Amino acid sequence: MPATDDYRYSPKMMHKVFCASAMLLLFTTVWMMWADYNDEWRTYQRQAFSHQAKRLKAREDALQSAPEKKAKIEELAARIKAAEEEVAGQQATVDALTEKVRTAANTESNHLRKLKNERARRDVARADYNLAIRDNLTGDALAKVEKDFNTIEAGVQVMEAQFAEYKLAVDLAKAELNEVTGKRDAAQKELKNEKTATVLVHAALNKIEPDNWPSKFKRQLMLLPIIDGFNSPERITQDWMPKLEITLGGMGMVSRFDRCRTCHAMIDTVDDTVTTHVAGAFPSGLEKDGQFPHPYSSHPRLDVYLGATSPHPLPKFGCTICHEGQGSGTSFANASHTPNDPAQAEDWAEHHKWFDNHFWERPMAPKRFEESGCIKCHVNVTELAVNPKFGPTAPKVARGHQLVKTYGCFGCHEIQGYEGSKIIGPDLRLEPSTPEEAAEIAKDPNQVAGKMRKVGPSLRHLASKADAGFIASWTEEPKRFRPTTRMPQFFKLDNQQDPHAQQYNPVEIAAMTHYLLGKSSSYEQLSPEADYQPNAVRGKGLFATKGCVVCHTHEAVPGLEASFGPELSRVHAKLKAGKVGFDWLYTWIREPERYHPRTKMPHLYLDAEGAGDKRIDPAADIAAFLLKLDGAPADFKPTAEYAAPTADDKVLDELVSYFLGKSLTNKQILGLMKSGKYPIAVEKIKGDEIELVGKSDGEFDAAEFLNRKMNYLGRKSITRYGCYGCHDIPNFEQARPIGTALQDWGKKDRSRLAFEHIHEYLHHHGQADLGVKVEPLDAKSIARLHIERPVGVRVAKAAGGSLQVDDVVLSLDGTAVADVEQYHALLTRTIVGSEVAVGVLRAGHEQTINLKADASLLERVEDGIGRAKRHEFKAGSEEEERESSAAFYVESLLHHGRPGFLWQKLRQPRSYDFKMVETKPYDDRLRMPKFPFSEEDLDAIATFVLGLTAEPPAAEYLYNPSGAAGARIRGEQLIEQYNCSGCHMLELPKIRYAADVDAITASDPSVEYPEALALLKKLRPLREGTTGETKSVKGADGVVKPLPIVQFHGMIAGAPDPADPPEDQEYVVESWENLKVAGKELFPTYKFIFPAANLDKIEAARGGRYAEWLVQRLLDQGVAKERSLAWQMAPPPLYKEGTKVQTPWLFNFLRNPGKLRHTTVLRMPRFNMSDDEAQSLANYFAAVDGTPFPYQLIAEREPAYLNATNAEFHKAFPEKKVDYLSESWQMLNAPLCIKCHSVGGRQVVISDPAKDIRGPNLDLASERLKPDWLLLWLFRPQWVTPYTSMPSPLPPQQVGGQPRYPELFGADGLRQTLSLRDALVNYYKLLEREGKTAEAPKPAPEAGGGE
Amino acid sequence: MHTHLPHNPDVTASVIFGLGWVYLLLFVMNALWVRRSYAVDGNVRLTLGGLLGKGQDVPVAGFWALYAAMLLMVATTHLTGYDNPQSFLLLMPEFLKAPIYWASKPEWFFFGSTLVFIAMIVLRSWWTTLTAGWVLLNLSLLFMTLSITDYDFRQIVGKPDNVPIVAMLYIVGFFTWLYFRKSVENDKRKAEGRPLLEQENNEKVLTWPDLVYTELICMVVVTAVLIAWGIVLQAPLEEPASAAKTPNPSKAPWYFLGLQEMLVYFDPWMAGVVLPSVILVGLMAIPYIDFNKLGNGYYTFNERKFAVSTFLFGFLPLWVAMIVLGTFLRGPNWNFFSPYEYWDTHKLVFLNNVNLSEWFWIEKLGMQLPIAAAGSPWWWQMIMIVYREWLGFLFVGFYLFVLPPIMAATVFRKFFLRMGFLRYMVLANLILLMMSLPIKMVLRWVVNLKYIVAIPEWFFNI
Repeated sequence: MPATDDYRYSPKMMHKVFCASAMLLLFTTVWMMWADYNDEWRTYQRQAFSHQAKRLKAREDALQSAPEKKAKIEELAARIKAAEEEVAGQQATVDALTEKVRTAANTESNHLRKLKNERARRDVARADYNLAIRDNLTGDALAKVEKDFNTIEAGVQVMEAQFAEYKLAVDLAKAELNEVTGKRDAAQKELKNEKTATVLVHAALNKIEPDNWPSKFKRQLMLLPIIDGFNSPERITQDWMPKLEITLGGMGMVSRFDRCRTCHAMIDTVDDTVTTHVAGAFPSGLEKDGQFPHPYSSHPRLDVYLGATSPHPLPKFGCTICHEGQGSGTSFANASHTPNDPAQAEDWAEHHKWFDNHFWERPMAPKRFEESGCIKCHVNVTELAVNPKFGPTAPKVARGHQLVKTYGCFGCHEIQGYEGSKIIGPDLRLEPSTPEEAAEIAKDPNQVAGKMRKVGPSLRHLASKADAGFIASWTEEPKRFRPTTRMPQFFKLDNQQDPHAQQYNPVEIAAMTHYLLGKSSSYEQLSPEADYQPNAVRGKGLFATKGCVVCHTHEAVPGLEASFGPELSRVHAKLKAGKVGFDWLYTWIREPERYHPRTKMPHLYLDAEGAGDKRIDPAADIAAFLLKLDGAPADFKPTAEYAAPTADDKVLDELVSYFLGKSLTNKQILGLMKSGKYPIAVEKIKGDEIELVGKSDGEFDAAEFLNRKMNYLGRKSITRYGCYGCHDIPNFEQARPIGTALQDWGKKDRSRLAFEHIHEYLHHHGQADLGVKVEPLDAKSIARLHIERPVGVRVAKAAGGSLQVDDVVLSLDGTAVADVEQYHALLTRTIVGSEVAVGVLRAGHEQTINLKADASLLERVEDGIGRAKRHEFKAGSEEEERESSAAFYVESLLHHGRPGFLWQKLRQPRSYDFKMVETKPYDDRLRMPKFPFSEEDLDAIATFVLGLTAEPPAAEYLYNPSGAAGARIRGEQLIEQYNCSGCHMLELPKIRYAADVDAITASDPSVEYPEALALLKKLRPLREGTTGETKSVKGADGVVKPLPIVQFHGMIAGAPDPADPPEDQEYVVESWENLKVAGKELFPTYKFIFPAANLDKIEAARGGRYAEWLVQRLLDQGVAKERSLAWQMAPPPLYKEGTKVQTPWLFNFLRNPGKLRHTTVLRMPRFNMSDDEAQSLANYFAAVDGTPFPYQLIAEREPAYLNATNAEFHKAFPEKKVDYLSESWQMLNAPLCIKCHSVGGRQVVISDPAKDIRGPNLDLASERLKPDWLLLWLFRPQWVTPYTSMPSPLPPQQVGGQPRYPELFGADGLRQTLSLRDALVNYYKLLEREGKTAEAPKPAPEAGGGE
Repeated sequence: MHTHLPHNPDVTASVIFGLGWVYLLLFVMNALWVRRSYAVDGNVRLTLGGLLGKGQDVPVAGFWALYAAMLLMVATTHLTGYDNPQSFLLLMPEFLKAPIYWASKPEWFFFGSTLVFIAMIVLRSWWTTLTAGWVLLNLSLLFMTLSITDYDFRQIVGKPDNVPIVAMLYIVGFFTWLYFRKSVENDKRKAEGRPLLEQENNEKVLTWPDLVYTELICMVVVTAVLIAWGIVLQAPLEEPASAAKTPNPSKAPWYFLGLQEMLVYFDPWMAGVVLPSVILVGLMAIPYIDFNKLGNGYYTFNERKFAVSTFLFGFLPLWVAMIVLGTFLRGPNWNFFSPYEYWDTHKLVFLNNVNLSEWFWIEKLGMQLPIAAAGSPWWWQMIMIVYREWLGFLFVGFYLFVLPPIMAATVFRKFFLRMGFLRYMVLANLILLMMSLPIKMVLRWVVNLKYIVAIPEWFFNI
């Protein structure tokens, strides 16, 4: 129908509209394609390609321009050219030979074609025959197929033979040709090989940036939208870890797909030019430093992660199992990256469209929690902090673990590491509290017993230790008595400021005190001899030398600041008066396990010695020192008095009634209060109410009923506050931990956390602050304010509170304020809402003002974020770290995050009760105590707790090794538990210095037996001393030049004296290692002497601070004249202990350490160690040094060795009548060893105690020492222990020297040394057989080392 | 120095900046309106209460120009002052939030929406004028822009899956307005004896090209719009589904929110099966019930007052308003929240509902519920149940069986006569069933009534 005016709309207009709409559709379609193509990751991948191309190009250039490479290629080219010319000269021959090869090859291949056909026919015939057998054919039918096969096979054989002929002909022709062209071909092949590296690099480069236009075009084409769907070079990279599963809501477990490498393309790229260690090809850092920012950098630790040889190779682990996040996400926001602080969050939001996707339950761990994931598999945690191969790889989470152990969090919050007997995470649980319980668990194969001891002391015999007043005062606020205590504070906290709590708390404390004292049982105490007069002055010395200061600090013995055990400066203010208190301490020092069977305090063998006036009872002396005792023990009077706690009867009744209200009716309670008769029969009561019932169900008189009520409330309060989580308390043996279990807290549903009014609270409170700004005292204000002692901080701004401008804050709660940093640090440890005693210098007068330190935490955080944005912090300063950390946690808290909740819970545990106590029952109040954590501690604990997800990956991922690695882990835990490293050095100091290697003189091997050197190298393999690094040092000639850095373990024998002129300042260091420096061998006790300026670094020893301290003290006090003698008096370094002692002996020694050395001023104490622990620790030392454990074969005691040696001995000395061992025994009994050691039942006589040194008894050697070590020791003791006084007994004799013991082993020093070892190893056998030697051979002059 | 610390980040720089553009758009719209007004509206005489004597003629467009100028000023303020959100003051004033807080309580919300519904019908000739429509549009847009400055409002309305519901409100509003505007016009014409709109502009068109071509264009445009929508407003993905942890609140798709709301007041069997079936069957039955032959092929209200009002009552207050209520006012734990209220999971509401029988036996008579002893024969149990619920049965019986005859004799007399018994009963029952929803809602809100007849033994509750 033609267009007419009848149309509603003009067709022309309709066409236009249609055209417009079609254009619109086209546009949106293109837009859609673009939106699909324009993925965020594409930009990153493109940039990554460009970085890779750049690097490949650089490598190619480097390869091509390397001079030696260039020269080689040129040389090869010349060779090829020459060879080609040579070939060209015989062109006719070459042509003829080539033709010959061609013809022969032709014939061969034609024949092969036919042969292949025949072979196939033969195979068919064979198959037909086999089928005939299957079909049970017989007779002619079978004979026919067999014949067919035989016919064809015969033909094939003929042809095969012919083929071999042809083949040979070809080979011969080729060889003939090769005669002529071989040189050229070889050179060409060599050239090709030489170019392989370049070709490979170029091929890799060609893939990214093709060098020819068709490839270029193809690549560009493949990158176009839509087409890129078909195998484009740009694509999403997926890593599939089928065994590392992830829970997606209720959909069950699915395998992990990580697409992280789509953007982080170079994360696992190794720098293949560096061969010595695994290095990233794209080092992480700022672009302006020539490094690569995220996502273009390689992983910073490819040796530990992702690398093919690392323990976490990429294909097996992927990314999200450690880092979390949404592995399938391909955009910055969807991957659930998590910012480390709010400033970074804002930056990301601005640049990467980042938002907090709270729908993804596993956001990536922010940088601060990057170590949290480690403990999923590393359930022992320890190896993350101490690792022989990789060093501390996750020190923060290990520190968190350590803090949880130290502060005993597990006492209330169980961390169950097992599901049945399957490991699901770190296990921190209390050990069974009774032997019955332990036996019960041991019987059940589905249960594993906890291992942790309660961290607090036992309160079972408390009455013998302290009075009610002290106990109450301590319970109320432990840090009042001991500011450094680890015991948390339960009272006077945020939710106890209301009148209700103010009234109840003192009564609860009094009742708990009453209960503890009432239930306390007696135990057998020790006392010093009745007439013994303890000497406090001597006690102070013993306190230092007997090892007390390894764990404890005392203000009178400064220096070590040990915090393993409690600080002891004020013990005299807490114990009971009179002999009771003294005896308690005396017993505790002498036999701590009497008072507390599970104490970590060891038995120090402080036994009394001497008699009469000469009697010394070290424990009594130390007790006298600690108690400031001046007189008899009975005169002891504590230096502080504490008012005994009192309980208001009315409040007591109110509380008792309140708690009884849970199980009794009001009427029953009223009746009970009146009559004292509990309305329920005793056998029906299970709870704490048992305290209110008498044995006979009778009524109590008023006094007894009061006692019962106090006991009830005390017991109830202990139940409520969970005191038994840390302390052993009577009647609480079966009690379960009161807090939330933490094993899966890291994935706890956020909606199940009770945030209550925390936002409101932090809005106005939560920050300990005096409301003023302080500044350091500067010279100007010191002058202006006429200050005499410039200590404290000055108030610079005040907002009209009690503090005024120009007040100088001197102390907070009695602790002096040194600087602004410390002022803030002290404030963060105060309890918000309670009063702080502020020592102030105002107008020249000191006064104390009590102030509430309370301000808005949100305000602090906003201030911090603002300052970070304005770049007001010093870059990377601690302050910035602290403030951004606080901001992170507060932000998390505001978004109901787990980290924020945890942080605030640890900071101010009761703040969640803010404005809650008004409406909730008293019983429901929060009871978590306040621990003295710093904000850094909180960060570490959060890192640990957030890693507790109880989601163990597949069993093969779990790292719980047995064997040496397992022994090391367990050993490290025990070393930490028993503070072994307090006394002993486990690793010697590491010294690095810039060495003038040419000036180093090698040790002289000619003065040693070759056998001795071989043994030295076997036990202490030579280690390369140079590190490959250099340090620029100004030489003596004034020229600065780089010198190689040498690194070794050793002890500093002489440090520079600051008084000397700079050019004379030098170090003298003794190396304990067997080193090789610049090809020169340096045997142990090599003395390095170098100028102070050459020192690069001294890494402190691992452990042994006490030993070093004691050595210095012994020297300073003149007890030891020389440093080496002082070291002999101190706890020895446990250097290469595993190569030295036999593991079974070490086990016994650890369980019950006997007296070993006569030189030391203290003894190895006996720790309260289980058999299992002692075994583990003994194994540890063997494992560290790579020796077999737990048992070692002593070959030198075996008949095979002894017979062979004996035969050899008789062959060498046919005239000898005695056997080898007998002669060895005589050697041992020769007047050599006896000078210092008791041998064969004869006691050593020390004539001059000042000069002579008594060595350990030799009877110990056979069970204690390993034969190889013993022999090395006999060869040259200084190789093993540089400070020893033991001389080399029989070193090689100088030419013309007097023969030593000519009648024994023909005066052969080597044989004599070996025989000494064998005699020691077979000591008991020989002692039994030979007994005392009646007659000892006369010593030759100059025998032995002599000095 | 001392910065103000807000409890919630009410406005952010980007919100202010975005609103600036919205105000600018509003300004442009109104600037165009000024032009139209100047051409159409003429003058108004201002006397200012005698201050101007006999008064001064002022063009109506002048007021619109003033309004538009104010919008421009507001837009400029937003577009230039966005970087200091803490001290930005052009926010939803608190005194306006308070009445809305009350209006969003369920009883007032329902009462209000019914009132609006009635006003819509009563004032139809006023609100369907172009100027009134424009004023309403402006007011609603201003309400939206001001409300957007409130953090909680933004959280609720700005959810990607709630955005289409806002659009739906405007679309429903527009088409309702259009219907009433045309009906009012036609009714006026009829009263004046003029030809109807549809007769005057004969709207008969050709299938091709007018219909099919237009449809094709619509198809293309809608496809384009959907694609654009799909790109710009991404699917709102939440956490992986988990049976152990369901979202709070768990909401049905928006078009089923009316049904979900019914579930609050009725037994699932009733709200999930019976009533939806009745709705579907009822809608199908309309042509057979309807005896009014007027209004075919043209817009009218006066000729179909009952049909239109009943339908619109079922559609607007009982379906659309329930969707709004379900989308914007129902929050965590299925509690009611004002649009300016934080969706706090800790909010608790007294919801201890009582069955009629409980009220009667326990509260009124102070007795126990009469229950047959365990083990008694089934017939005795039945009797006891009926005895227990007798009051409920009485009410329901009265409502379903007694009311229709009464209505037939009174308000629906004419209907009954024209429809006959069967058709009338169907109509009456459909209406009664429809009205049971508001009745039960009001009873729940006002007296916490749970069920009128509660027989959990038979899974039968009314």
